[in-house]
Amino acid sequence: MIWIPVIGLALGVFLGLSLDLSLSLQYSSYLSIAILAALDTVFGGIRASLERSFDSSVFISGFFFNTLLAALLAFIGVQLGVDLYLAAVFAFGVRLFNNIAAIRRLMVNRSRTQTGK
Amino acid sequence: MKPNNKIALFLVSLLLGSMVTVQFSTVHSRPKQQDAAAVTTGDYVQLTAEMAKERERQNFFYSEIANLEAQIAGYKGKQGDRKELVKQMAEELEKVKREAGQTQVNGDGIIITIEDDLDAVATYGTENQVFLDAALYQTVNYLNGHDAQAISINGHRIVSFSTIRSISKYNHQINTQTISSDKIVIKAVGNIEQMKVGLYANRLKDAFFQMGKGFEITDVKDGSLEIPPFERAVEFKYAQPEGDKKL
Repeated sequence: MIWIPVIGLALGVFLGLSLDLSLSLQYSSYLSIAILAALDTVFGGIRASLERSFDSSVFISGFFFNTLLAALLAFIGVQLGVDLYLAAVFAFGVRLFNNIAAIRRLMVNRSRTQTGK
Repeated sequence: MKPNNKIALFLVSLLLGSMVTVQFSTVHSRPKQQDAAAVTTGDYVQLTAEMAKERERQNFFYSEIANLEAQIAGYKGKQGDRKELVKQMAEELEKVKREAGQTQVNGDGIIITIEDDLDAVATYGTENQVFLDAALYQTVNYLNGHDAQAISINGHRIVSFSTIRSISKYNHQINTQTISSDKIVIKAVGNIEQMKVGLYANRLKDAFFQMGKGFEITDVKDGSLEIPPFERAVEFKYAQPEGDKKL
């Protein structure tokens, strides 16, 4: 199951490279925040699937909502002259580490269980 | 895991991968452009010099803008009174003409009389008079350097594009017009004491003596000294006013 997002990511990277797209520099900061939010959602999805509580509608809505919200927050921050993107970086960064830690624990537990068998 | 969930995870991962790649290529295309720029513009010394020059130009233009804005403000202040505006413009025109030597000038000053001196001719002869143009040019130079505001030689106004020329020891020209070298009269309006100090300090009397000429200075303190205007109009055929071409 873990191979699905890996293959998806690899294909996405290939697609991005083959299309050779690049954004205007002024939008690259928004995209970086959006990527952080998307990473958080993907790792959340992996964790949920390992915990057998994965829901595709929650996952997809979370992906788009978080991504757009993070970019919007960064945009509003630029307009107001406040570094609001830091809030998004902090929130998604913490969640990302939590999800990765949870995935690690789940995989360790699973391997222990398989070894015990 | 249901097939729907797998597809959702796959699609989202695919999208994320594309986003990461786009961001990566956006961020990494910047240093390439900077390298190219560095190669084409040369070294830092040149860049610094160019920047200093540009800064100087910028300061010059700022001061020009400030001057013009002040002028516009002056005009606007007098916009209500058309006569006053015309009067101010006429005054400015008169000032410019005066500074360019296009008007007659009266005032205090000195008259320098340079004429044949028997003792000098007996001692040095008249051969050196072929260098009279250099001595006259030097005299004008020293007068200008010591607060002279208007100068004429034998009635010909000396301005920035005046010519002083000796063709032979008998033939001398001021502003391309022949003058008699028997008696040369230089009139200068300005600070009398300063001009005399400048002339005496530079031993011009000796220089003229070696050409067989006497050199006498007379003060005019009643304001009656008249300097005529420059006799011909100057056509700026080759020189252009400062403006877009300088940019």
